[in-house]
Amino acid sequence: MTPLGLLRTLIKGISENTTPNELAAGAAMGVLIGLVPKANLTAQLLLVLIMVFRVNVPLAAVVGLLVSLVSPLVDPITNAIGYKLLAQTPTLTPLWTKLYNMPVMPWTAFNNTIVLGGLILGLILFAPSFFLARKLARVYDEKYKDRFTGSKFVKAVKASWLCDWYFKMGAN
Amino acid sequence: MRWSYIISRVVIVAVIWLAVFFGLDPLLKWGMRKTGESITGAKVDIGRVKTKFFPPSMTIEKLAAASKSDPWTNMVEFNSLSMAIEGRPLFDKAVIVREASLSGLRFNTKRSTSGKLPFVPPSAMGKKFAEWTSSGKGFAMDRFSSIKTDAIKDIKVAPDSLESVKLANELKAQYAAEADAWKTRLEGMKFQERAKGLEERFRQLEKESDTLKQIQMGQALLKDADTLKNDVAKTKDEVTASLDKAKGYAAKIEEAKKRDTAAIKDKMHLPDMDPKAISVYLLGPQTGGMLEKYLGYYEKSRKYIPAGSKAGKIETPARKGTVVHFPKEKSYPKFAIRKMAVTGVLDIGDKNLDYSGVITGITNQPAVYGQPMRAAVDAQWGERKLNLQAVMDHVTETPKDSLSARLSGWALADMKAGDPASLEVKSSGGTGAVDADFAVTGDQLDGKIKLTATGIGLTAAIGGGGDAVAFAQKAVSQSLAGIRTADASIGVSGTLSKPSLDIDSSIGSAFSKGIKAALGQEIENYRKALEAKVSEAVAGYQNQLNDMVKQKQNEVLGQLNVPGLGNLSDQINKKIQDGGLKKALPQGIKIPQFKF
Repeated sequence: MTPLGLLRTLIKGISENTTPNELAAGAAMGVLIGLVPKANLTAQLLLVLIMVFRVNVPLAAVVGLLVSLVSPLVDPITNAIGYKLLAQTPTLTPLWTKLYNMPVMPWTAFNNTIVLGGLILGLILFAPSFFLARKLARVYDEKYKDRFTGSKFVKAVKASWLCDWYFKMGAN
Repeated sequence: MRWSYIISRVVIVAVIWLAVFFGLDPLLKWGMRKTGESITGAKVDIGRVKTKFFPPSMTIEKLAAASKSDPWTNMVEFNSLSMAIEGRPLFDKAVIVREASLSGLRFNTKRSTSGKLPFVPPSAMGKKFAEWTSSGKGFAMDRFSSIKTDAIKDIKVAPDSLESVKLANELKAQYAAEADAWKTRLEGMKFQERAKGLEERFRQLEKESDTLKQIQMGQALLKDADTLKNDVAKTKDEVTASLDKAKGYAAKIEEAKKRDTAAIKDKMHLPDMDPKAISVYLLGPQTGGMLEKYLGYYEKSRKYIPAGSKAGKIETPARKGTVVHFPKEKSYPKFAIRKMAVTGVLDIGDKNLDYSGVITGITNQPAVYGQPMRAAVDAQWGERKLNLQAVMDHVTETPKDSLSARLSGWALADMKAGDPASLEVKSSGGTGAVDADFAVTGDQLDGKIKLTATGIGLTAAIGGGGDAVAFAQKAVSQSLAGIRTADASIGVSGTLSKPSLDIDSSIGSAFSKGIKAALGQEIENYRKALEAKVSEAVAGYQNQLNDMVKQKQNEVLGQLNVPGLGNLSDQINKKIQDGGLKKALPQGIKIPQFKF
């Protein structure tokens, strides 16, 4: 396999999961990772999950980026959720104390109110995001896919040298 | 098998691994450089940073931190710092260095490039030291030439520019306003009218034929007369207390005159004979600069070693959100070096002295680590000895740091102090010793440095020309010629942001003695003449103030002069006794005096 072939395999590998379920899972994972601050092990583990499961990685990346941009607006909510769970729920204190004393766990920053709050809010929103995204994917498939693929814009892109080069490269 | 799926993920993992493998060390190097530059305020160069994961270790090679005050000199540099890191605390997000070795540690070495950073704002401490060292700039010898002449006659003292004149005018205005306020207030109290009313009532009392009524009137009159007397006396006390502040005016103006004389003296660069002032002039700039540099580093380093316990706090603010802490079975500080061996070279003039030492308990969280940082460094080569002991105790809320350093037997290079245009002292040969003890408790500084030089030769050069300079030069040279041992003591006090220095030296005393012997009388005469000129300029304004005070006091106190009030009570009593009761009562009965 040539280096270009390898590159194409790579691009294909991370963008091939395009069924409505895979797209929806990508969008839901994007929401989850977008709500969690990135400089900790929790965010890195979520990235690993995206790579491991059959989800649409480009969609997860785009949704994650968009949610990250608006996440400061949601921080008061995630902060309140995290603070409630970490500091104002005595029944959970033994669990947090145990986690706090476990190796590696401090790297996850679970004891940061926004990390925990973002993770919890992301998990709560996971199912609604998944079903909403799947519905949108199906509607797109049924009603807009043909219109979109037949549009002048897509045709122009397909006729471009970049697209031509991409498909030629795939033939090698 | 879906190769595209597997390969894509393997490639991403490989990219991340490569980024860590090749990117971690440069990233650490960059972080260390930036942190170092923020502490020193000058460039920090690092040759190489090498990390290993199995077993965890880190090596920093060829670090050179430039000096902020002298960008072409490295304040500190070392060849290599190797650290063996404990593995278990890394899982707890803590870097604990079990053992470290720092080799080739040197100070004040030359740089090939400038270590100046684009812009570093001066610290509060730096400004304070700058103020302090500039205080010695007033000292100069360039008026020697005019001391033996009649130049004092040509000096014009402009009254408007004098602080004492301004003060006299201010006091005059203040006093006048206060006295006028009293006058208005006293007019409102109507003491004269009330006294006249009492006199009128007394006349009616005299005319009264009914004895009983006369007694009743007398009692009421006595009561009112006493009230008026008390009111007048009380007010007089208040007025006197208020107006008596003028008694302190003379002293205030005298103080201001002294400051005026000193200011003119400074402006004219009249030579100072105070040994301390000479010591500050000679040693102040170097001492102030040196202390500013090292105390500045110390102050900045304290920010990275916060005092007190954070373990007791349940929550700490984070960049985003709040970090909630829980009880730890085993706590590690974020960073610590348990023990570090240090070797290096110290340049002490004629010889590079190899030294070695041990530093224990280096950490950014002393409260969690539970042990203060301790350093002990020793070196000896022949007569040359160095011993340094330092403790940085930030375990409790109040930091308690101390440094004790003894350096002896170091051969002194030829040194210069002062300015050749004014006064310069040169020293040659000899050996030096430094004995320093510093303690910082909280923000309070307490330090003493004693510098001793033995077997030295001293010469002095006084700038300017003329007979007086030659005369002073000869006298000072004679004073310094016999000196083979010199010492200086530097006291440091105050706080880190407002340090204060006190410098005294035997050279200052010897020099002062020389000047006094040569031109002491002339300088004293010059100073007295200046004082007389200032007094002459202020005298008119001071007299105006005194006259105004007298006038206002007379006016105000005159309003409190109520004639006849003192005798009124006696007259009433006499009248009651003689005219009324005495007649009504049988002989032999003693009538009590009415008093209210």
